[in-house]
Amino acid sequence: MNCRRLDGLVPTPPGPLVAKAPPYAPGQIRVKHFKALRSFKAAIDLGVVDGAAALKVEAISKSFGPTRAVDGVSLELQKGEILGLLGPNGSGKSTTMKLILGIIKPDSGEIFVLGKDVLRDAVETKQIVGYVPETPQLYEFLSGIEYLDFVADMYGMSSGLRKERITQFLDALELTGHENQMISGYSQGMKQKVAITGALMHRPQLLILDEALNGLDPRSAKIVKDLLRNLAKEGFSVLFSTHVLEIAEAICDRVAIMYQGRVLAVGTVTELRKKAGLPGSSLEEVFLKITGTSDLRDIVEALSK
Amino acid sequence: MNPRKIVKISSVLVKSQLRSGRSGSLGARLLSNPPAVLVLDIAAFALSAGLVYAILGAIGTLPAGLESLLDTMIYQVVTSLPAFIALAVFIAAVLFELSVSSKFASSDVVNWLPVSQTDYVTASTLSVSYMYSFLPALALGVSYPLAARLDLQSAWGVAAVLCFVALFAMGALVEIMRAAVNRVTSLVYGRAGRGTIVIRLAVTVLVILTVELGVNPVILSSLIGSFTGVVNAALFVPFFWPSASVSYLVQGQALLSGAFFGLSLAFAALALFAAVKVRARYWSPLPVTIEVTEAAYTPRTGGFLRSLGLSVAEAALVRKDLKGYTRRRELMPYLALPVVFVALIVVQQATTSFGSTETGTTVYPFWLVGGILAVLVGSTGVGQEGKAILNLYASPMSPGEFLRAKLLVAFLFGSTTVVAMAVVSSILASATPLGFAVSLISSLVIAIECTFIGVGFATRFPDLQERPRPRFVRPLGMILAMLAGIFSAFVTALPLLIWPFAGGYLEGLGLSFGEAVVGGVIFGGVVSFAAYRWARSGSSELMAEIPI
Repeated sequence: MNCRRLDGLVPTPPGPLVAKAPPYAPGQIRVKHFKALRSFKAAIDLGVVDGAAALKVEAISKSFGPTRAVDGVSLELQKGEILGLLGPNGSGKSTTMKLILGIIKPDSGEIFVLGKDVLRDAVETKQIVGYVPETPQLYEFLSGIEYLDFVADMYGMSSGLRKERITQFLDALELTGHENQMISGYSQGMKQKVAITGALMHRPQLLILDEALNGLDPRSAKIVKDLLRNLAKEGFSVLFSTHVLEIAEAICDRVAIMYQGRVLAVGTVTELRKKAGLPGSSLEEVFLKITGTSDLRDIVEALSK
Repeated sequence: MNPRKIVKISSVLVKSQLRSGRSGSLGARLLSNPPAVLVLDIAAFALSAGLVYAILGAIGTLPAGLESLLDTMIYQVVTSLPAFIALAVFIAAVLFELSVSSKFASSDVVNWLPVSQTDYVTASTLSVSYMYSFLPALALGVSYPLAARLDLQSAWGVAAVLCFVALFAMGALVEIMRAAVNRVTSLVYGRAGRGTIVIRLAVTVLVILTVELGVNPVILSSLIGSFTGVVNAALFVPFFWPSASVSYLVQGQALLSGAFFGLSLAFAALALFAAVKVRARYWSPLPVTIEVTEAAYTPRTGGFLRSLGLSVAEAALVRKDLKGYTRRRELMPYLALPVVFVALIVVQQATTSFGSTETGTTVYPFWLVGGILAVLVGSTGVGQEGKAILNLYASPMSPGEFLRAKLLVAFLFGSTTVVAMAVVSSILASATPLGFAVSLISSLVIAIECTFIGVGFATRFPDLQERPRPRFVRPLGMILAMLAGIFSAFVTALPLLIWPFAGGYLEGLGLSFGEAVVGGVIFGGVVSFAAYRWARSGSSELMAEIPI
């Protein structure tokens, strides 16, 4: 299946999301303005540059001691686009996502979210980004509803809006009835649902999802996938990492393949097939070919003995 | 019982404790295996014995009066050794156990391995004894040369054996405590409503209080003495039986010595038996599920905290942290501490007189306790976030908001405690209104400076790792924070401390009491300002990049 824009809609990135031009240039938001911007509506208007790419990553690198986790990665994500980040374990996907979120500083390179410099305007950028980590890190002594309320406070969501959104998500993800239990008693999948709700409920302009469908039951996974498609249609952008190639193939407009901290290839699945010289093959075969890990027969045979 | 399994499990438990929270430094690697404990024990024994031999050699022969005093002291040291070891080990082990996160209690591998309760409890008791063997090794090393000076080697030998019997008995009591805490933790399993949280908290605090006060020798003796009316009331307390055995041996009463020796052994066996039974009955292998409330969701964005001028995000963080203290087992002791301190004041008052305290001199240690609590809560405030701090990094919270929320939580604890201390101690000491006012002002200044110091160190030395026994702050940070907090609190309260003794002299120099107090307060203000600036820059650095 080709990587496709959902339902054949939105063939090109959508136009500017903001109804009006921001009253100040990016990076010039003063602290005293920030409190006034703590609402969902204001968050959408927050210093977003008209016409800017949803995400622009320019040659970022990051090392942890002697290990070069991310090595000169460049990416661009347009508004309304879903970009899949594929790669084996330890290829640098999660680190790249944390760099984009601004919670890790790159050794070199630049990152812009909707025209805003992530390093310089960290707090303002986070207002328009949603993030689901690889493993949900929740406050386990809070109930699900208390946690979501806490997150809503962080984003300055109004009472009415948060109630509406939280209720919608809890119903959709079948958490209703469990929302008052402490998170410590939740299953892994339930924790993941809470984390997803926390990341989505303020309707971020850019969603960063690190293996977000892990642990979800099929119904919830389908809901989240459809939701991502709908959000993309509305002009929201998604950076999505996964090991499940079928999921990437199903929901992503483009795919970036990472290996040993580098982006080896970016494009639609059709483009990647062409690049790998494997027309008509599955994304799995393309992935294995590009990452140079296709000859697995010896390993499988050794393990089978 | 399966001895091989017991040894194997003990070894794993010791490794677990040795390696929890240790980094990859050379010292940590050397101490990461059980034999290292034995090597340390031997070294501690040899070094302490050698040191005391050298000191005694240097002292030589003393005048008759001093010689007699030294002999009495040596006699007390040798006889009280087993009781001292028992109490020290029990308190240390219980405090260790109370700081273990309930998150890990249910994930013990032993829950799904074919291990009997008896095997596990025995192994766990042995591991506790082994981990704390350093204390008896050190104490025995100190006491051997002293005993040899009075030809009490045989008594010392018995004391040594009884030290390890007491050590084992305490290990078993810790097992009982562990099962009791698990029982309390699961007390409200599956139940609903905020009342369950309150009940769970109250029962846990009660357990902690019982332990803290129950092992206090002064309280034990006074309690037992009050209903027995006999001089040797301590003989009714099993903690003191090993010491009684040694004491009677030194007095030449072999029969009584043997009886208490037997009682000590019986107590250890009984403690182990009880530990096995309690653990078998109350061990809770499931994570606790608690329905926090049955009420329908109603968003709250206002409230008391907002009226204090906090932003929505700051108020949310404060509310979240306060909930943590009432719901996280490893944090509940912080809530119990103020109650323990107040209870100790009241008990102390029942046995001793406060004396003249118009200037609050004798209540000073209680302010210090409040300050220490502020340092403790402040310095652990960041680390308590654990890996969930990722939520704060991912959200649009500024370093300033983060800092203000953390400061407020620590200040709430510190100020509440010092004010409570000042009020209770002033009432007990019949302080004048002036004395009370001075106490209160100084207390609050100490709470503020200790809060800033604690949070400052929390931002610089956070430990966000989630382990069975989370530390929240790196050891160096905790030590430095405590030293800085105690020092600044001490200087702030110095006028109150020295006035009863040196007031006349200082007044002769032209310094009035009021001026001295104001001086202390100004010092506290300067420290607070400097610590706040330091905490602010620490918060900015911390929030710039996630440290895990």
